[in-house]
Amino acid sequence: MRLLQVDSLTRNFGGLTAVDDVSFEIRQGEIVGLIGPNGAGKTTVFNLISGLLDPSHGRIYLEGKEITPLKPYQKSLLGIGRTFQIVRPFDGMTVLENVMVPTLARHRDPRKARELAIGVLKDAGLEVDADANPQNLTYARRKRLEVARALATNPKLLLLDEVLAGLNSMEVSEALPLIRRIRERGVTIFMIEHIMAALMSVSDRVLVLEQGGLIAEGTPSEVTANPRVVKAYLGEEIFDAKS
Amino acid sequence: MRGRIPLLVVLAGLAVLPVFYSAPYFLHMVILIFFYIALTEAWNILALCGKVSLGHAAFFGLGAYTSAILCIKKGVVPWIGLFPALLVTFIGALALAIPLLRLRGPMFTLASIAYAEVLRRVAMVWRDLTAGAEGLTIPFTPGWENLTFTTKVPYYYIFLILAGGSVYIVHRLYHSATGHHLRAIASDEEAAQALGINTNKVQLVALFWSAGITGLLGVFYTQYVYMIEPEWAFSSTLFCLQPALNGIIGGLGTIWGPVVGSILMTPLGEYLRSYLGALQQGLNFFIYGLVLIGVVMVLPGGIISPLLPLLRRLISSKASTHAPKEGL
Repeated sequence: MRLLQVDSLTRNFGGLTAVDDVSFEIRQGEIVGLIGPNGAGKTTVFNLISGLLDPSHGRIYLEGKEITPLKPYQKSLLGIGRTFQIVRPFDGMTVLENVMVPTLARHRDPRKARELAIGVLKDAGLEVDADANPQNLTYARRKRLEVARALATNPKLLLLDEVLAGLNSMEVSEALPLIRRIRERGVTIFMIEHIMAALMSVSDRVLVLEQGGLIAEGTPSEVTANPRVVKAYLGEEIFDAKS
Repeated sequence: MRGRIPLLVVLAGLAVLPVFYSAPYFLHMVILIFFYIALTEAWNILALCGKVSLGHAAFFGLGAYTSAILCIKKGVVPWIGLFPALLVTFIGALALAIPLLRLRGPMFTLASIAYAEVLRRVAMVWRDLTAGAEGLTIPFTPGWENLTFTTKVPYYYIFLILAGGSVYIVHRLYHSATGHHLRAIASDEEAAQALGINTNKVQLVALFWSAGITGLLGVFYTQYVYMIEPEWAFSSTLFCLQPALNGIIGGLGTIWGPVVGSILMTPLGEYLRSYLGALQQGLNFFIYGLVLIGVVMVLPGGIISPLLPLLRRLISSKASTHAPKEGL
């Protein structure tokens, strides 16, 4: 089943076209990766889908219904959750309160909202930090909080913007099962990632952006074999590793 | 429940205080403190979402003038007059809603200053309605129905209730969904939106509570001073700067910070004004400024910030995963 459909999505910033006529679909239950060199427009695609930016052209559909002009909070309530590349915990609020922000927007009963937030913290392995100030968490745990907060919106589609970036290999290997677990819950995942090995191990499909345009799409092995992709983005390292 | 006991003791003490000691100057000082606790708490509701207003005199003046004009020209008792006063305040709040939702940081603060100033000018010029700089005097007909009294004791209780009510409202708001969302907006408005918060709506709710309480204070405080004129009703020092100072010094965006700030700054302000103000005009503001700079440098979270862990221990006898971080 088609969960998200994006039709000729375009976004101009002045004279620059950050996202250029991009079309793709994401099916229910998939984990789809979005890769591309720096400045390819990946985060802009996320900002357009989540509503933080309005597209210059193009349409976005969620479960067949057009959601292009909706505001970010409306898209969130319809089931599009997202994390930010640079973690943005709410200062002056505990880890639990951070996660209660989205649950309280959905359940006016504070007890219910609290219960749900605690459940999400447990899932994310953050329950011991419930009363902590996010500023005092390790970077990896702050990334986890970012994911937990997005999960607490109870999303159908979760946009993960480089949640593995900045983690060491040990932390990455701890984070991957969390991503798989999220998918097992029925959440569809669309993720931007630079760590290729990690992305290849979790994603069903990969989309490749270059200079705002979609240049390839396919399974991880198809994409890595595509000469255009190799030229544009993957470079010598992976090429060598493959041979 | 255990945590409420110290609070109840303090309230009971305040309730019987005038029975034992009712020197007019002392009562006046306590009434002023109560007034500023309520005004600072009202101001604090907007500060919860990170918006620093320096224009709350607009709401104070709108509430005060509406009720005073109805009382003087139409003989409407303030108990009835407070409803149109609230209505006018809300309409006034709507005008500030545009800058509130569109402008960020200091830009909103500047717009709020301009807004109060514009209203002050209007009140000066619209002589038919406000008598301009001459001002209007509330007829002296003592009695509860007219909210005018020969002694300060009834005012003491009125302002005690207003102060207590404001603290209670902020306490309830703080722990509600709206409170969480306001604090999230203060930290990162975009992230809050991405989590499903209608940030415009939440900020409007805060604006209306904040303006409404301030407008009501205008109604009651005018009954206390019997007189109203534009320089006073829309005074930037009394009703814009003072609540902001109390709030910042006590602890911005906390429940008890405005209480601590008002208790400390009101007597200090009065003392400096009567002693130093006579010595050299403006010297009181100089000292006041030094206190502000000192507090902000040493305790950026306000005077309440080092007291918080202590208070939390006193009050949180409930579940361990509870104790809100800045909650007190």
